[in-house]
Amino acid sequence: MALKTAKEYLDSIKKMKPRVYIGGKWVTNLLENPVTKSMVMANSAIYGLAEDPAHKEVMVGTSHLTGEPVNRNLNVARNIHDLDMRQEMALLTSQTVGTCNYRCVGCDALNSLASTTWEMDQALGTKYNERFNKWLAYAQANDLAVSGAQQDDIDTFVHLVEKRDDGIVVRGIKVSQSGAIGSHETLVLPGGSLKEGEEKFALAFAVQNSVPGLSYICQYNAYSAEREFCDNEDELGNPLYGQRETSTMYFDNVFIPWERVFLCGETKYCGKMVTRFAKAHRMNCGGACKVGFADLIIGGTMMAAEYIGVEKIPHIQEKIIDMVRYSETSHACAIAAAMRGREEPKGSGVFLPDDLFGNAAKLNIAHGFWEIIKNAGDIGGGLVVTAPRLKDLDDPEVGPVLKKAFGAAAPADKRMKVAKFLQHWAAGLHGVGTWHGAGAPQGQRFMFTLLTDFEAKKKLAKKLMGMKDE
Amino acid sequence: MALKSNERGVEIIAVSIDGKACGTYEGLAGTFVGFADSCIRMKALPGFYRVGLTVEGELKGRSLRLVLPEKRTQAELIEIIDISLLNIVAFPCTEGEAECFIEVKSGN
Repeated sequence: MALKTAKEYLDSIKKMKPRVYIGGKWVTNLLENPVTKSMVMANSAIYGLAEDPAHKEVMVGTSHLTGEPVNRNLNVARNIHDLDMRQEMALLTSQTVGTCNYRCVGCDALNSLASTTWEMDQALGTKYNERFNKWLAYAQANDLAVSGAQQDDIDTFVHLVEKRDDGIVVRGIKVSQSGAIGSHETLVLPGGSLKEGEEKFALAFAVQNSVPGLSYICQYNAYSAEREFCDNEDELGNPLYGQRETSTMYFDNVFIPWERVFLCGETKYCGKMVTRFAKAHRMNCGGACKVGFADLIIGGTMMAAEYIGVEKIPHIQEKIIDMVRYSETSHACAIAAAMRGREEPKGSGVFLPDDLFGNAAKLNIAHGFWEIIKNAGDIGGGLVVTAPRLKDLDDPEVGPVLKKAFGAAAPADKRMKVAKFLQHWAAGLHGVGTWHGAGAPQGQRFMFTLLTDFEAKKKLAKKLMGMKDE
Repeated sequence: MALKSNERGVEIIAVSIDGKACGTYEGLAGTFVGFADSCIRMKALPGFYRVGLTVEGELKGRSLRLVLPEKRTQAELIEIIDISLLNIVAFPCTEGEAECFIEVKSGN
């Protein structure tokens, strides 16, 4: 089996029993808790996209290990086209589920691992790349859902406890892990650059998500509570797939066999591994995923304008055009990052996006997304945050009042449905999520400083001014 | 640089319940030692961590003897081991020669 169907993924998840805690409860079945279910259903929809012939070019790649078709979420980019389709996948999946493609971080992590383990083997004579390729071939053959874990809790970095003949024992905490609970495996990367003396934190490995010792403490917020306690999920802004579900992964002396360890102690390569992950993820997360969200928000905002009857007013049109401008500029940066991608390192066969354009995509959308949701709230009106329940329209006493109050160019039920949808975005988790996802903007500014040749720009200006170099 | 099937780095695990062969599973190499570590060091089956199912395991070479608490039927034991192996990302298979063995018994 090279490609799992959505149903096959769901069947496999029904038997998975990771140790998951959410809102004061331990979850025994991911599909019975409404919040964890929304995450699993989003992953299922991602599997479903690969079944659709219309999306095959975007969702299905070719394994460089076996030549078999594989889900692009498990594909190593081997050329510019792969990079371009990778960012298109980020766009398509976001447009489809309105939340994370929970396989996305794993995809970018495995591309970084393919590149960096190859370089380590060349330089150090290690066998990390061989191991990694065997793990990847197995993941591809079984079309596993793989999440990625990079962000450590600063006080308790995931670290080595014991090195044994058959593997390693690790301990520590990874925070803000998107969709790890509903994945088969997670790829764990170092939290950042490390220096000599910090070898015990220099780890990269794949872990099965239900191994003893591993627990997940899920995020819990107003949206979790709303989903947990509502009578009807159709009331919610994103009924099927919800907001974005993350968890804190706690590794309590978890054993990892050597076959799953892809870096252990080589501090010099941690920075490269993280940087390569970041450059892939900034193109995809910043310049495509959030653009897919923006498409949904712009669509909802247009509907809100039409339902109120203000869609032809010039300043409304101008604001909607601005939303498109922020969004498409970021997508253009992602496309440029893919098109200017290159093999890294030379000889590895692994293609990574252009760093500057990828960072530009992310930094642009980090700021642009606030503007987009601001305009959605502006055009959608106060109703975006003041609407009663949709169900209240059916109440014999208050229903007629609400219909009168909220009916405009469209009936109240349509206006309120769109208001709930825009509330999901404008007053939800995605603003901050977009800001920090793939690294907070200060990280992109730092990369701009590193990647921009300011001296060359000064030279150009001096030349035109006729100013001589001192 | 396509990998040949014998270079795939997988291992076949044979499971027997109360001395009766009941299935084989394929996992990435290292799956068996991971499973054994769970049972022996953590006293828990993958997928059954901290749910009150404490197991006793004994490893001899590539053979793991496993005792599950309480009296259970063969069907119950098969279901538990099947779920547990899936939770360590090993899947039922029909081809290949087993090189690792899990023998399961229920307690009294």
